[in-house]
Amino acid sequence: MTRLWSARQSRKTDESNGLHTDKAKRFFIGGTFLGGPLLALTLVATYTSAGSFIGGSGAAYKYGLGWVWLALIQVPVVLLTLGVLGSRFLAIRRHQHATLIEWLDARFQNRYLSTFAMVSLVVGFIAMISVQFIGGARLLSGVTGISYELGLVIFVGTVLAYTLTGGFRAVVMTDALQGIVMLLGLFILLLVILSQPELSEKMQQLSQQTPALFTPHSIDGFLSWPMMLSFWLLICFGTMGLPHTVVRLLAVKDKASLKTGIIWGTIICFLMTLIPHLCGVLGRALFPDLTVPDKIMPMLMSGLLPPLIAGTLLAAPIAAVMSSVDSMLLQSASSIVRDGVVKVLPSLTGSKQVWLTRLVMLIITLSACYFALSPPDMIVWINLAAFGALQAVFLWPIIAGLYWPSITGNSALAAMVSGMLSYLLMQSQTPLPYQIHPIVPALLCSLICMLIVQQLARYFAQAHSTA
Amino acid sequence: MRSLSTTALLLTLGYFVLWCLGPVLLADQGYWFSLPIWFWFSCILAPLLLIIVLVRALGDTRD
Repeated sequence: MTRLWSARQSRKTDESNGLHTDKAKRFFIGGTFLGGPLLALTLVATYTSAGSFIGGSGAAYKYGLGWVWLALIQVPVVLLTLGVLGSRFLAIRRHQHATLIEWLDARFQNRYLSTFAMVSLVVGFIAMISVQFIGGARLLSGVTGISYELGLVIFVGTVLAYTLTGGFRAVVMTDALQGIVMLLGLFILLLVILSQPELSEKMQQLSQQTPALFTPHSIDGFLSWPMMLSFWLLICFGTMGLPHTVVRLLAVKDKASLKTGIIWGTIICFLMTLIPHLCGVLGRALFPDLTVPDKIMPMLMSGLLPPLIAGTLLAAPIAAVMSSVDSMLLQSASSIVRDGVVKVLPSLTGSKQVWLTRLVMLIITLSACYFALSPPDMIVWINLAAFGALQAVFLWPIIAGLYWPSITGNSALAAMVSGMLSYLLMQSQTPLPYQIHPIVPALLCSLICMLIVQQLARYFAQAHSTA
Repeated sequence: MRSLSTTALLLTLGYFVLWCLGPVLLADQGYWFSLPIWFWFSCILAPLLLIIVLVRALGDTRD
């Protein structure tokens, strides 16, 4: 149904965008068709993933209300992404770019930067896709009772089916539908939890047994102020450097859509962040003996609801996971083909590009499945590590590329390379003093290197002109 | 009238302040409906205020 609808919509807008002449571009980006509510739903659905539904609720189960407080740092994400980046992308749009790398290439015209960006994006996305696969398989096996491996096969097969056939437009349309399913499912689950007669009494018992779960800084002050403040960089400000959300800005229709998208996106983001995390804490009162915290969401569904309704509600978190994984799968495969192969073989036809993208998607899926076969107990940390790596590479080049007209490709490349290297170095040294997240020194190092190279370039240019 | 990007940054800064204030000022203020007061302030009231101000502010931007 989504494919049929998206195909009809695509015919309407393709002629105005000239996309009917480029089959590959139509598959990758689909034109400037994102209106306000659709933009809001696809952005939040992509951003809200297994990290929130499975890992986030699992972490809230373990660390208590402090983790809910931490998660709510994400509320202004849509406001920042659309307000700061979206308005600028719209103002300077001259050509329709199909991928973020294509935009970076056109903006900086530096082939080393484009190659480095492409490799980082693909590696980062394989890690994040792997996390999503673990989340999806864990949900399926937790609620239905099938094995983890079978859950993995069913989940991966479903995502591949519509991503391979529909392209960007189908991904966006399914994201929007999945966003609605997620919200409805979350509301129902929260109402069911709140209607448990013994909930209030069990929450009081929990607050007496483990009062730290009700404090902002959790057990042994684990969620310290420095850690909390560094998460403002990682899950709020830094999200402006996430390629799979930024690519949606290339397809924004107009300014009015941007403003409507900001309002709807912030409301949806608030609900989708608050409810699953709060369910994790409330779940601790109802099911206090879980050994794997990530299992709280499937446990709440299977433990509180009749099997038929639990199965139906499973659609909500599965939708959250799918809506992220499809975007990352399409982005990484299209980046390899559009920004890598097409540059080497410029005569490759649109149809061949699309087929090649499908083949690359299969290879990426198999790689991510390999890592998903031995899952850890808590996926939230792997998700956050991959999140940080992408931000360390992309944040400053994107912001500077939009707001600093004289920034050079070499300066942006310096920001990317130093961001990635310092992030990997800091990640290997964790925990850092005061539990600061590695993203803080990495982004600082990336910014400083970018400024130094820019100043050096200016100095040499002046010296050259005076000589 | 402010630009959309300036409005977005200012609103985020305002939200950040409200988000911090709950644990700073209300950490020992007891419970309401089984949940601590700081939580109601920073995790429910602050986002709701952001959304209300956002709706009003976006009608007043120039781009």
